[in-house]
Amino acid sequence: MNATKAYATKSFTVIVLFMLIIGGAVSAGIFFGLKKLALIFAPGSAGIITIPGINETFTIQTLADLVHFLEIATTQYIAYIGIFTVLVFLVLGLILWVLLKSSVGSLLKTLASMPADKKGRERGEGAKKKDFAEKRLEQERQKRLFLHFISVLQREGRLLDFFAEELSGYDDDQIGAAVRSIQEDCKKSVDKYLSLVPVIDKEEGDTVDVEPGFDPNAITLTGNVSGEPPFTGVLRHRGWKAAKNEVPKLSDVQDASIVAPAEVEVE
Amino acid sequence: MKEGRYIVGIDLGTTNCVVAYSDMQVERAPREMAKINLFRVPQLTGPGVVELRDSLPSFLYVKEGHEDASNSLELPWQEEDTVTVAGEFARERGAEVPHKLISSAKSWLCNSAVDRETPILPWDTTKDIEKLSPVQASCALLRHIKNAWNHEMAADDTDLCLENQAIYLTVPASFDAVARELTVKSAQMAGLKDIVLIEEPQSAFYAWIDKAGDDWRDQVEKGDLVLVCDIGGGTSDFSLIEVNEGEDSLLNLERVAVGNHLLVGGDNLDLTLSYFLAAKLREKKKKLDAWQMRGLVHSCRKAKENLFSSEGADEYPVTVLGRGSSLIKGTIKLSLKLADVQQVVLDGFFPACSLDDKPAGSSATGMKEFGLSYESDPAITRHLAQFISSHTDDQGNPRLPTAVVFNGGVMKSPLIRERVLDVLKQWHSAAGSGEIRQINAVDFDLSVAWGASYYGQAARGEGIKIRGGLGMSYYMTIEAAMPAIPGLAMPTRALCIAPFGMEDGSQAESKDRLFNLVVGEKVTFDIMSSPNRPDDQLGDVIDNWEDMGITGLTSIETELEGTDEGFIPVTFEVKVTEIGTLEFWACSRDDDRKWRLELNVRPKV
Repeated sequence: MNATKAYATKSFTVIVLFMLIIGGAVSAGIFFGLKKLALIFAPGSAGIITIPGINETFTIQTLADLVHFLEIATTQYIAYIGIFTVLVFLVLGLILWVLLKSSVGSLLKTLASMPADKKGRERGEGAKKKDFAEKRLEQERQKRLFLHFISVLQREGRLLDFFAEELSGYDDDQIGAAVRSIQEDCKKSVDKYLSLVPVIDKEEGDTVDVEPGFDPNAITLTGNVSGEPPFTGVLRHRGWKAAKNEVPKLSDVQDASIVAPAEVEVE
Repeated sequence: MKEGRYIVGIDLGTTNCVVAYSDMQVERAPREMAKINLFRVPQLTGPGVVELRDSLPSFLYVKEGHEDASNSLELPWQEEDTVTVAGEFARERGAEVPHKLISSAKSWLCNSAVDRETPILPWDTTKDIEKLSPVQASCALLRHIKNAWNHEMAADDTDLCLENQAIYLTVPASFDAVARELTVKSAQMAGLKDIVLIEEPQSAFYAWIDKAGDDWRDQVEKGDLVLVCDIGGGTSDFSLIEVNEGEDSLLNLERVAVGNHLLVGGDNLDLTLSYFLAAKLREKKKKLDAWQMRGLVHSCRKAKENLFSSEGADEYPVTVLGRGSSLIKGTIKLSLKLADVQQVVLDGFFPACSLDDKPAGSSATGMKEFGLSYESDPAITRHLAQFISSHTDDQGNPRLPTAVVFNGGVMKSPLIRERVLDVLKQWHSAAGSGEIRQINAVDFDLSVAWGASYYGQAARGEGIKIRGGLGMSYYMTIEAAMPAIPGLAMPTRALCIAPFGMEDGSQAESKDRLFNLVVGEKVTFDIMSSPNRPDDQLGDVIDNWEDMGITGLTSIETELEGTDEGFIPVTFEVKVTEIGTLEFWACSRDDDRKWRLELNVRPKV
């Protein structure tokens, strides 16, 4: 938008200037030609025309002379002066073209350089900014994802409200009644999201063999551990493993640190 | 029908929508049915949380300006300016602000007391919020399914878009011609132009056939009459399917009767239980606010499921937690006894009754609140008795089913299945006839969509099809041939224009009856229907139709173009389309001009 406007004004001035020069030149030529003709046809003059460039002199006294003059002028003039004028205009045109080209070229260059500059800036400090923003966003998303499961437990099972309670003020009966519901709802959510299964599907107390090359993440060895596997031991805890891990898609929110929203009842 | 890669079955339920599909491009042995998969529907499950669920709860939450601006209700795909959110979040959020919740859109679709194309939902809202018509609400659910499918399945290939697949949409068997027409319309509004309707109980039966594989022929025999008992969240639907032997000595199936549309289902059970408990609390001078009441309904559902599961205890604690920070202090503890549940649910909704029992008529309270016409008698077994006793053999005795397939969320409970089976057995022993057995269903929640996808394969010639045709007979009023008596309305008679069991794609013309229609004027005819007059033939005339089990449905109307012809003698033609809808045509006797008569969807005055 800006570039075209700039180009329009620039080309306009250049063309106006050129037109002024050409117009001036042509009008000057007509002026001097008329002046010369006026001298020739002035009473008392001999009616002699000397055309520069053609070594001929005419004496115009009759119409036939005029026709002859025109004939000579058209053939000779076109041959010499015509070519000369055409050349002059060609040169003028060339100059106009060069001027226009250079001006448009410089404009285009600025146009081209503008996004380049932007890119450069982005690649410089901008890139840093963007990376930083993206990193922030990613961090926020991670944070939300981390908090999401907690917020599900709160939403479905009121777990956080339960943690916030001061238990010393209540009877075990009262606490038990509340816990029953909380445990049930939280369990449902855990099942829905993780569907936990034991790592080692055997009864606690069973004897278990640990083969060489076992995953130390999946099995923790305690007690009298020394040397290299295979080991034999007693299963004390079966471990938990998420059989399902369906990560929900979370949209970006203003504040990722919200676990449970405040509730306001509009009257 | 499109020959897309997938055959998609959509169960557009009253409380839940389920989508199942079969991939026809997967390699399989010749004559083997393609495997059917469940499409897990992505939906908002909380503000800003999108998760996959097996079903899409059929609830719509109407957004408002301040909610639209935040991106917490955004979906992973672009929505064409919709004002509603569908699914689990809509259900949960809507329970908190009920005046912005649209539920049971499907039941509104078959409610002839309202204009189903004007924005009236959410019903009973005094607030100034955007409203949807029942058709638009169904469309919003289907649009969510379409967008979700296109997002999950057709991200980089438009050939896989839902609108380019063969779609089978299920409707209750009891849906009349108008409700079917409107269902098709809502699908078309959602951009699903090419669909076929299939009845839900049939679909549930197809799911069983698919699961049983080739063994299904061993589990039923010639002469069996199978009752499909589909009790969902909001509606109950019955159908009878007859097993016959064809000329090729192979078994074939025919749907021989469909029941009325009953607005009673699992949600009524939970609500009744919670009101029962709330009444007990009131005796203890404890009052529940709306928030706690919701919690109570929720815990009642859990308690009911637990008590009704086969190894359940005799008693189950129901707790309603205190609100806000008074979690423990405000906790209300109750216990629901099995005996109570049996009394409230089994005896209330599934009482033992004889085959002659009829559902109690509408209560004598006089003014009934305008809205959805919920059943005045919640006893599902009495409705079942009425349905079965209206389906008689040649001697006029009721034909009792010999097998039963249960479907719908309510039927997940073995206790309820047992009770219904007991009632059916009792009818058998009273009639001195044979036995009834239960055919094991596949999945009480998902099988309707599942079966619809199977039917799609059967329609391509790869499995067995249940012959069905029209589930009701349709009539038109004609004036009785008697002299007019001033001051008295002329009694009308019912002319059967489309008999029960008319096959899809066929047409019936009442040739020997001519009507003179006035050119250039709007002509209107009243249409009636009856689900339990399967013996009426085309052209039969029934006097006193109001007392013969025929009820008014709507009117059909058209305007005959033309100028100065005066009268045109016409015959009527009814067409059952391949989609499963009805078309009414007036055909000129003298030339081959035809006029389509449109079904009137506005309420009758």
